[in-house]
Amino acid sequence: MKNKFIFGFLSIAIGLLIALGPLTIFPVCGVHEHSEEVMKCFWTARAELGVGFSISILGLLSIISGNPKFRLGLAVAILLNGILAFLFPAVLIGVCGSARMNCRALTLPALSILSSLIVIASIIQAAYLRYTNKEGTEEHGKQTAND
Amino acid sequence: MESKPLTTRRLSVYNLRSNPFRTASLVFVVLLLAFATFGGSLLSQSLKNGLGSLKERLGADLAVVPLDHEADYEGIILSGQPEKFYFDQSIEQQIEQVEGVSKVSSQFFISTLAAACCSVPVQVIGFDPDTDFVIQPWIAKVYHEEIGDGQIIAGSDIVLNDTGTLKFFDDTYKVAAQLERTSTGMDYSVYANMNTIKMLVAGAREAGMNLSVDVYGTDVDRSVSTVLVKIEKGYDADTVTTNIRRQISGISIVKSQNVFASTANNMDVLLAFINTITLVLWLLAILVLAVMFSAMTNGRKKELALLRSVGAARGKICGIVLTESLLISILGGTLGTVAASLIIFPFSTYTREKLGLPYLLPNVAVTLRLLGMSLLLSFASGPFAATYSAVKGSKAEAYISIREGE
Repeated sequence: MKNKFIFGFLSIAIGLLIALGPLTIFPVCGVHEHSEEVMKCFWTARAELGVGFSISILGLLSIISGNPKFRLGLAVAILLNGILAFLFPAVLIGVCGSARMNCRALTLPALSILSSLIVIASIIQAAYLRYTNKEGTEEHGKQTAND
Repeated sequence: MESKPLTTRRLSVYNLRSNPFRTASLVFVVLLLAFATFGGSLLSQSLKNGLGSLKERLGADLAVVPLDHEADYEGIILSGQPEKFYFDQSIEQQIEQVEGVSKVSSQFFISTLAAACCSVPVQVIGFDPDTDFVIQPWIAKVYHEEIGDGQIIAGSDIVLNDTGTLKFFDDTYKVAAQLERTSTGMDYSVYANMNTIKMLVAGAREAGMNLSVDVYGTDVDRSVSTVLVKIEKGYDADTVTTNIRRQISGISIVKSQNVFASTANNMDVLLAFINTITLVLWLLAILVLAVMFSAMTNGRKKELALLRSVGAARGKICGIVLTESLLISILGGTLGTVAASLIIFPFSTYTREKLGLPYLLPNVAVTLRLLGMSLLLSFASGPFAATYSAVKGSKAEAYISIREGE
């Protein structure tokens, strides 16, 4: 029961940080100062907004849900979203070209750390749920045979 | 149910598990201690490395620049802030004749915008390979051939295209090598010989990009941005500076030792602050741990007395308290160093930008040494703070402790 709340609240918190961080705490550059061109990192922030909220909602569902198998599915979904949150700034969309620009120096490492944390947490959660489900099923099976 | 022997370690683990909030609080105190120790030592070492790197980078004893451009030159050296200023090339020959001057080499600066989107202006530094004594020693560390026309050397923080090229003003230039990190403006600059600089300027003119390269009014063949001077042995910087000033007007002179000294002074203040904070946090953590362990042992008087009454030796009681403190220290110390690593390493560029000082992370061997020392200090902090409580708890008379409060 405890792990359901810990993982759920952790997912909500990290999801919100992934979604809103690139717009507030560790902001991306957005629009180029001279050319006024919309930069790559702007689209990364948009994509993270979607994937971050998705992680938060899945985390909330994980708290509400009482079914361990459903929560296992949610943990896998959060894991996949976490991978996407990592890939958007690193590979799929990217950030700006200069090492000293905010999105590369601040947003990229922040998103990498947050997405890695949620990926690790969801792997642990999924493994834990899988292990406890298996144990429960085996015990249940034995009992039925004895009966 | 399977019975397990009640060893010291098992007893300690059960005790820690029985009060998760208390355990978490103690772990958090050690976490802070480890974070401050490892983070503080990494930060201090990085600043010291940065200062050492700056000393090497300065290379020349004096830099002669156009009048009132000392601060711009220092900006290029310290932070790679793109600047452009020019004076007549003949000044180089004049300086060469001055008494006390051993070597001179000129450089040509232009600031540019990479043609691709999402970049900031880059400082391009043109140098003369025949006379240069400042840039080439750094290049030689990573590239052992002569830099050809159309080739460039990129600083460590210049992000290259996938093809290992950089595009300036619609022209693509091959990056022959990328320099090692120096923690100075060198990391954000691009280097090329003078022929490549001329190609670059021509490219800018063709592309009509005069906004970022203000060289229309400058004759690239007859202009330089700075003349770097190496002083002859037996002369000091002040004497040679006076000699140059006597013979040439309309110039400013930047003394490398002054740039280094002012950076070192700024850094000393910061280092003193970091060291004081680390020490204060460490002392506070030890004090808090000692108080908490003392309160814990007092609260567990009866439990410890019962263990004594069923045959546990004083050493065993002492061992239980110390093992608990060690387990807490191991957990807190590990988490603290991981947290410090997650902040110091990925955000090093950002830290450097915000500090505005040379900042160079230590190599793997030094990092591991600092990590080892921090872990050792953190692991020792718990047992150190708990020793008094452990000895006191083990010395208490079992009968008195059990009857206490009746």
